[in-house]
Order: sequence, then C-alpha cells, then structure tokens
Amino acid sequence: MISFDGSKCTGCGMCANVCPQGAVKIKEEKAFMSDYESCMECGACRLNCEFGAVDLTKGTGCLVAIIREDILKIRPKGTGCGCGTGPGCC
Amino acid sequence: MDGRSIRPPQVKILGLALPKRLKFGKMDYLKVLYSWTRAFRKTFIIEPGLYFTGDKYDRETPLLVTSNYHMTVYILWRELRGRNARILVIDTDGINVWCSSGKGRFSAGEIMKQIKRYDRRLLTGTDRLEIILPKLSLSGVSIAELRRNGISPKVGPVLAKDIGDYLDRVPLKNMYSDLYRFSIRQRLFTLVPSLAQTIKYSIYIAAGLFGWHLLTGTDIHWQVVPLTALIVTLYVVLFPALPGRRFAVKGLFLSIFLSAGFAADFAFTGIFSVDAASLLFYLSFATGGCLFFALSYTGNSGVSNYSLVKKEIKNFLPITAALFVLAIAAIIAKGLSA
Repeated sequence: MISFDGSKCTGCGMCANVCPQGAVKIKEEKAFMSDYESCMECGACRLNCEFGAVDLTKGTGCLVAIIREDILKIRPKGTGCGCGTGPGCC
Repeated sequence: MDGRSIRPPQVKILGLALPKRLKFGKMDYLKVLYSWTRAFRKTFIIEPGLYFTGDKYDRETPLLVTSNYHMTVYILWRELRGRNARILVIDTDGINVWCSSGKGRFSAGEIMKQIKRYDRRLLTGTDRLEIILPKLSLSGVSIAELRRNGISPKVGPVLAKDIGDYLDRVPLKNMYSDLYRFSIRQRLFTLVPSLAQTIKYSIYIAAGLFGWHLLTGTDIHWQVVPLTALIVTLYVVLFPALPGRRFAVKGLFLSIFLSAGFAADFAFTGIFSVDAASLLFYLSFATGGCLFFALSYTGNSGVSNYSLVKKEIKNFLPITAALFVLAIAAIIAKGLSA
C-alpha cells in the first residue's frame, strides 16, 4: 500500500515526475495517488521524496517472487523473482 | 561483449581505468535472441565500465547510464549507432534496468562506484558531470543523492528507441512526462518469452498424458500444447480488451470464452467428438491454465501492483490448483472407463 503524508508534502512534484505510470498527481500543492490500479509500488516516489512524505510497502508484483518471498518465505525480500537477482536464481 | 566469455584486459593508467569502444558482433545478436526467449532472465553480462560509440572518445558527448544486462546494452548501442556518445555500464549483476532498480541494485551508489574508477577530467570539463538516466531506473536511483555528489542527472526516456530523438533535442530536458505504456508492441515483446516459458511445461504435461494414453487409450495428450499456446497468445494480445483490471479476472474471462467454445462443441457440433469426461478435462485444464498464466504474467508485464497481485495470488492460486486436480481426476476417470 502507498500513502502520502500531507503534513510533510511540499508539493514539489518530484514524486509525480519520477512515477513511470503517471499514477501520482499534485493537487493544491499536495501529492495524491490518482490511480492506485496503475501504481506498481515500485518505490520511485518514496526514494526521490526528500521530505519523507511517501509511505510505501515496496515489493515485486510477480507470481514467483511473491510465492518465494511472501508465501513460502524461502527467499529474502527483493531476491525471489525470476530475473536472476538472488544467488543461484535462474 | 559477453562478460562471461570475453573479459578484455582492463587498461589502467595510474590506477584509473580508461573508456573502451563498445562493439557488438553477430554472436551478440544471437545472444539477444536467446535472452529474449529466456524471459529477461540473467543470461549474458557486460563488464561494467565506461564505453563509447562513434569515432573517438569525446568528453563533450552525452553520457548515458545503463545496466550490464547484455540485451539492454545491445539495444542501447543499436540506437546509438553512427552517433558519438558515451555509455556508463553499471554493475547490476546482469539484470535489466527496471528489475534491478526495483531491487535497489541500479542505484546512485553503483553509479558513483563506476564514475570514481575514471579520472574526473576524462569525464567532464566542468565541475558538474551531466549523466542521462533511464526513466525506469528511478525506483533505485535517488536523484538528490547524485546531486549531492556533484552529478547533474537528466531523466531520459522510458524506452531506448526514443533515445535518438531525445539526444537530438538540445539542450537536453528531463523526460518526466514520458510514461510507461503496456502497448501491443510491449505485449508482443513479452509473447515470445511467455510462450517459451509455458510451452515447456505443457510439453511435460503432454508427455505424462501420453503415458496414460498408452496405458488406457484416452486419446488426450498433444492437445494440451496448442491449447496452452492459444491461452497464452489470446491473453497477451487481448490483455487490455479482456474485462476486469486484475490479471486473474482477465484470465477468468478468457477461460469463460474458451469454455463456451468447448461446451458449444459438446452440445451442438461435436467437431472434436468430446465425451463428458474429456469435456470436464478440457474445461478444468483450460480454466486452470488461464488463471495460472494470468498470475504468472504479472512478472512479465510492466503493470503489476505488488499488493494487489499478492491478494490475487492468495485468492486464485488455490482455485487454480483445485482446477488442475479436477483435470487430473477427469483424465484418470476417462482412462479407467475406457
């Protein structure tokens, strides 16, 4: 899930600029999620927010990664997908 | 340029590395094709470092940053052919830009690590070094951190095919408005690896079914391979047209269309002469196959939301497993009755 802390957000627009899907928008100098279905929770907005206004649980939206990391818990977070990230993977 | 098989000697002067000309040959084209069928998984890597294209190294030319996934560097090189440019290949463990940035491997730290290997005067004639980042790297790269380190990052386009046009428009701008779109072109790009992944498993299933057919004469074995290919192709091509916004819901609708076809054949035409047990097998296999492919396509697509996909997997994976169990029961029943 993703949420924006309005008290910290300055409306600088960096989160909207770096979003690859255009899911984050700025309205009345505050960031908000305009289309959660389009958001990939990739974490670009959180990483590039200098004010710590974005709260996000980052993860890989992929069957293999979720089975390994979240269901079976046999791989640490961020190493379970099939792209070859983890040691011995693929 | 395969980092696994060819490691060119690292030329160093006073402990600092020198840029190398980026060259690819016919073998690299074959490697790209192979990587494509391997569904973007780690296959071949490029040695990290500073490369250049064109006649000679020129510190005034644009400096593009990319991952050390062989296919990525090859595609970028192809787009830069005939142009003087520089490419900083960073160590992402052979993983593509978007996947590696999502895992924090494509990061400001990795970029700085490569930059520090080179004499600053070789990189820029000013006190600021301008680099061009792929837009899809920003889930791993902190722009603020780069700025603190004397770097002036520019955000480039999402896709390599737009690099040429981007570089032609000087002064370079940030491509903040360039968004990722899961277009038919993007989806067709994922079709080949998706087919390669799933057909392999359908052949294993067909082999098992053939064994059962030899014992009991079910006459159902090879059919699962084209059925799987049909599911994959229809799902990928029709993805935005299938009802629903979630992957599994789209898969469910596709299975309804396919099941309607099987049921219509059973009820009216009898073209495939299916009996009740065969019908049950095809219905459950097709529905389970549609759901399973829909869930696995989350990884190949560029539009999957982690939290929503997690929910989908928890809800639909048990249903998928139950459908495959039903398909097995149906084929066993058909064999025993025969």
